[in-house]
Amino acid sequence: MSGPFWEAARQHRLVLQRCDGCGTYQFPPLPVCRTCHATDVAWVDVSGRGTVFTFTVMHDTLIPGLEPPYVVALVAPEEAPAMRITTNILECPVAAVRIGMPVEVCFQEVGEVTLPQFRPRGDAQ
Amino acid sequence: MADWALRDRTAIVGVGYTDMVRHTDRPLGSFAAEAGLQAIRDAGLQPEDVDGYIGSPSAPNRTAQHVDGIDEVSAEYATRVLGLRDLAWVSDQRGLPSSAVAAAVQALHAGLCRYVLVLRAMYNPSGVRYSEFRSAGAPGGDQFTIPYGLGGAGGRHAHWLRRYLHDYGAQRESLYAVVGTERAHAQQNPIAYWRGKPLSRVDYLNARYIYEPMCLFDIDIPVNAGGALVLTTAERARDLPHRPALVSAIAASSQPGDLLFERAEVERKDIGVAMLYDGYAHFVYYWLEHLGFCGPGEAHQFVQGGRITHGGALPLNTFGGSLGEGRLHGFGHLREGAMQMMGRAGERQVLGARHCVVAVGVGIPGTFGVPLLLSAG
Repeated sequence: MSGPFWEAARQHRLVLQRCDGCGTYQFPPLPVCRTCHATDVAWVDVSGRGTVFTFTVMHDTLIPGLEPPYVVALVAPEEAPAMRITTNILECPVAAVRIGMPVEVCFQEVGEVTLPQFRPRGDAQ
Repeated sequence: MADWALRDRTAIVGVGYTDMVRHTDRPLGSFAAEAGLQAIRDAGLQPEDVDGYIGSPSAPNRTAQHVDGIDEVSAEYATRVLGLRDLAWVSDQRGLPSSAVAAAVQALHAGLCRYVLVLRAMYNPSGVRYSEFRSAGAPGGDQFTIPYGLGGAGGRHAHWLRRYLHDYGAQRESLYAVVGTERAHAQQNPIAYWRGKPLSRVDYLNARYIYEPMCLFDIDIPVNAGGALVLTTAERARDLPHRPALVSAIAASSQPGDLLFERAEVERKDIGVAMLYDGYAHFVYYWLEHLGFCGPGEAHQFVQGGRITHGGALPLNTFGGSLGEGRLHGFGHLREGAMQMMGRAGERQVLGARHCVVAVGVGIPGTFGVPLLLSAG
């Protein structure tokens, strides 16, 4: 179900699931629209702009291979401000991350996978 | 509103529990058997009297091996070990221990069985960290969080703690009123992991961050332990040795907080003591606000000034909570709520308390949580 998300990321595009019927975005993907229960939910390209809704600084981690401290944020995308995307904040010192910070999508190659990530938005600095 | 049909119809009549052990080779089935037998005997019953069972078989952490009797305990295992041979109702559930109590109440009310054992045992693995991520891949929802370094529940709840502090102008330091008070309460609880170790404000404020703004002491500590309750109808409870703790109401946190009090026909001001789930310290804020003990965003002030200490206006988590006792996912809250309403909490007893809220779950409206209201029988 999530294949198109990762395939788009490989092409450096951020896509989100949107209901063809009522237009509601949802993420992570679900087999039906959780607002109107239509089954014709599609992947659409979005601007990649958003704001930091909240974040934590991980000083410890349960995931081997990662080096704390690092930031894990929830970003609210411009097209769907009530939605949250889990991301790191790249190209930004840990201490500079703030709630409400404008961010934009960028892409990080990790092994064979391309991760959508977010960084501070240049035009907002 | 109309009379709630289940109000005060069922009761907790027996309580069993084990020590909290941080690491051990002792299998979880042994903890479960000890707690289960103790609860049955405490109720003045024998195993052959118990004809209903509900337990939680799933070890809720990523490092579990899921071996029955070793790191989890199924209904099949527990009923065999305890010799419960004449079962009329049996259930395995994955949810909260308070929803297991709620299911037991319904089974008793429906007449499916006469005496129900509710059992919960929690396993803390040795040699690996609790819920360490060790898989090669991240399926399901994990694929959108694990690659970004968000594993386990702590980071997710740290997100919401930061948001709470931001939205309501609260300081992280306000949580010391919860954590320090519960640690003080744990000093009167013989089985509390942190007994003998009070926590000063300075030590709290100097504690290292785990998931900033959440520090080490805002997180409960994983233990191995078992807990059990026996429930029956209020009518049968009269023939048993202890004064019962009546189940006055059951609700869900997706419903308005008022519902619990309406069903019980009890006003908030008559709640003498409350057990609010605190796997992470700020869950206490959510529950206080959701249940209407204070307004939205006010809990960080409400808990200050001794209000929630034993002797205060609303003593909370008199056994120390999960933060003071150990990680039982809410079973400690149920046990202490029952003991308080049975009048058996010893030096922790809140004199004159006739009604107790036991709220298990996160407490954010719309999330999964099951609050109960217990009353002195």
